[in-house]
Amino acid sequence: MRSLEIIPRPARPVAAWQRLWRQRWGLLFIAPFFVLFGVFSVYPILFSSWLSFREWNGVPGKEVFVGFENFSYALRDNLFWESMLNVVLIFALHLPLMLLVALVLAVILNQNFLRLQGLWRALIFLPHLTSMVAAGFTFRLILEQETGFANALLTGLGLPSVPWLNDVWWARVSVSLLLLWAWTGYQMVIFLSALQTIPPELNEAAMMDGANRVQIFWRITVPLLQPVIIFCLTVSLIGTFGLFTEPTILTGGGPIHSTATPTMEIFGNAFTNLKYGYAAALSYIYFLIVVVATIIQLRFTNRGQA
Amino acid sequence: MNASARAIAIALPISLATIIGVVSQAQTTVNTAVKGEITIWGWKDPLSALKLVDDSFGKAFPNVTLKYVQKSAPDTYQGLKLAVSAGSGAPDVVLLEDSNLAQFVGLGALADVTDRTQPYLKKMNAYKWNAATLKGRVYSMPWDSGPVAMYYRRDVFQKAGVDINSIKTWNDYLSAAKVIKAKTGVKMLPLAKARNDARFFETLLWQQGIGYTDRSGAVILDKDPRASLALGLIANLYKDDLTADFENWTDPWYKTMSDGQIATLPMASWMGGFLKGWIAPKTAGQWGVVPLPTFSGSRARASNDGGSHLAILESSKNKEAAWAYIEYHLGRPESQLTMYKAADLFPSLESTYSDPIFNEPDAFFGGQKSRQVFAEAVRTVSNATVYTPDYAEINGLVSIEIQKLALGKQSVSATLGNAAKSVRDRTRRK
Repeated sequence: MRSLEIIPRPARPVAAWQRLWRQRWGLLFIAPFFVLFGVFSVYPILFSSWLSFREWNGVPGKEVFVGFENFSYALRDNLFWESMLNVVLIFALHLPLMLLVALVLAVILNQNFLRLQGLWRALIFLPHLTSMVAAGFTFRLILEQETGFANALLTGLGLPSVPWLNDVWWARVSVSLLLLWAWTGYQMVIFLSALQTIPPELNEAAMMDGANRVQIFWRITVPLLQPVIIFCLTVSLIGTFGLFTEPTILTGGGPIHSTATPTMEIFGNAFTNLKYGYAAALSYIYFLIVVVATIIQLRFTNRGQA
Repeated sequence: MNASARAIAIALPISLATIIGVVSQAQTTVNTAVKGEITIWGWKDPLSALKLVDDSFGKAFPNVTLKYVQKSAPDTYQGLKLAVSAGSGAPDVVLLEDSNLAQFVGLGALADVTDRTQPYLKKMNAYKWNAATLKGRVYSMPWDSGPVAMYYRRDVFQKAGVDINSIKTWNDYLSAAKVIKAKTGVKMLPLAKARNDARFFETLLWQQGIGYTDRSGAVILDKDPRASLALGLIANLYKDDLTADFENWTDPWYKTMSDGQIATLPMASWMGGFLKGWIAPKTAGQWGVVPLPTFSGSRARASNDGGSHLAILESSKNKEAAWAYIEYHLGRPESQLTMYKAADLFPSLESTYSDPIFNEPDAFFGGQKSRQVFAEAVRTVSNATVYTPDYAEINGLVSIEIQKLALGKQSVSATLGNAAKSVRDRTRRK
């Protein structure tokens, strides 16, 4: 129903209507997207901005205008800023390692001499298809300090046991491990498809000139994949800021709030504490920060290219 | 017709009438005026308990039909919040834990049942009404209570040579804990550190007659000495490594109970049902129950944790039938006892405590009359509550500070100070 408004208004309305009518079937078929987009994206975005200047407990008609109060409180909300710091730390803990591992795996799996290529690729991608809730619960059992498999393995090898979920830093490491497990395969598939676009002549020429595999990797493959690496970095950055399911299941945001994320804070304020207006303000601040972080990152990573 | 036959002919209708009269008096009067369908939301175990009473409810109210919608507890609350915001889709009757009740009362989502509950004000545990009341009006009917006592392992105490009856105060408890740990290696109780959920702290506050806030709503964590007594006890248990560090409601936590890795379990009556039913059924006969140890300067030996209510939604189109349902299921001793026997939901209705079941020895508790302990406890629970409308938020904030204490990052007084500060800041309390 809203799809008509998306079409720019032309100079002669009559002709435009005729044109629309002629394209009615096409418009009908693309309408579901625009209807869903309108109901589940455009409307909430607009409603949130209206809500962010109000205090609301969810009861219709109980909205109270409070001006910028939600925003000024958000600026001194320790828990929210801690959650921002948490995702930055988790990002730093897992992303460089994940990209490197994914890239190396992709290069290895791209070699023609490797047998059962499809099987290895599928196996490495498989974790990404697993339900995150199931994976989270399984990781929790594995990482349990006294009864978990991880510590049984470590102590069996004569190493000290690790407070995986019971220490501020280790809990962040544990969330990072879960992310590594779930997302490395996904990144690898993207790198693999990018690798297919590198003409084999380049590698062959480099080999003729006496370059070894490591040199080819760092001097040919990585520079040529730079746009894809930047794409993965950006998507991961946004994804890490938006972390929700993984820490919710694995750590519940603890211990001492050390793995709580901005989206968990927003969710908690809205649906547990029933501070919908404040949660809306937080989500706008969150949105702004993610946009700024993405722009900074793109600037930073593009510098070498120009 | 001879004389005797005549006598029978006269007597028969009379005696029949008498019999019928007696029978119909024994049964509840049939009410056909209340009619219609009502929807009830709740989660699995309590709903199965409620259904046990439905046959007799159906006879008393033949024109009321019941529609149960089973969801998990979190889904029930989330669904209710959404229905309130949407202005439609809410049930007629909902099951609410005490811990979540006040939030819905605060939203104005529940129907005012002040007049309807009037006959039950004195019949239910007095403290149960606190979370149900706002500005003098009542918004729900108490179902079950969570009187807290101390479960203990007979075998562990015997092995350590400690007499459970020698533990009168929490200081005695601490000393006993050290002896038990030294002699058997068993920890005194399960109490998480990094993943503490503040429930035990709340139990200790309530035992002393306080919650997080006073009657005016002001935060008292950093002002009331009883709060530091409560947290001080927890700090001492941590300091001497007397606790088993497992998060509540996780597999390793259950294992401490089934494998005898803990000596005591200061928890509510419903825990007995869980232990018996699915956490540690094989430990039958090894458990006992005693009232809680006392804090110095106090004689209170009971607390409360959890419990639940049934409430009518303000949006319900059939409040008469909804109330008939609630009153029949929760207001009659017969119904409450049926549900207590089947599901271990400890009745808030005090007239049930004289039932013979409270004097039955329980084999799971080594033949002890364990229900007596809880019946006595529930009568002495302080008329307080920790369950305010913003309870979930306060509980989360306090948990963070207790976790810092547990990991050795701050002292007892700093914990209470920081907790009070963050609660005041975020809930706009004094």
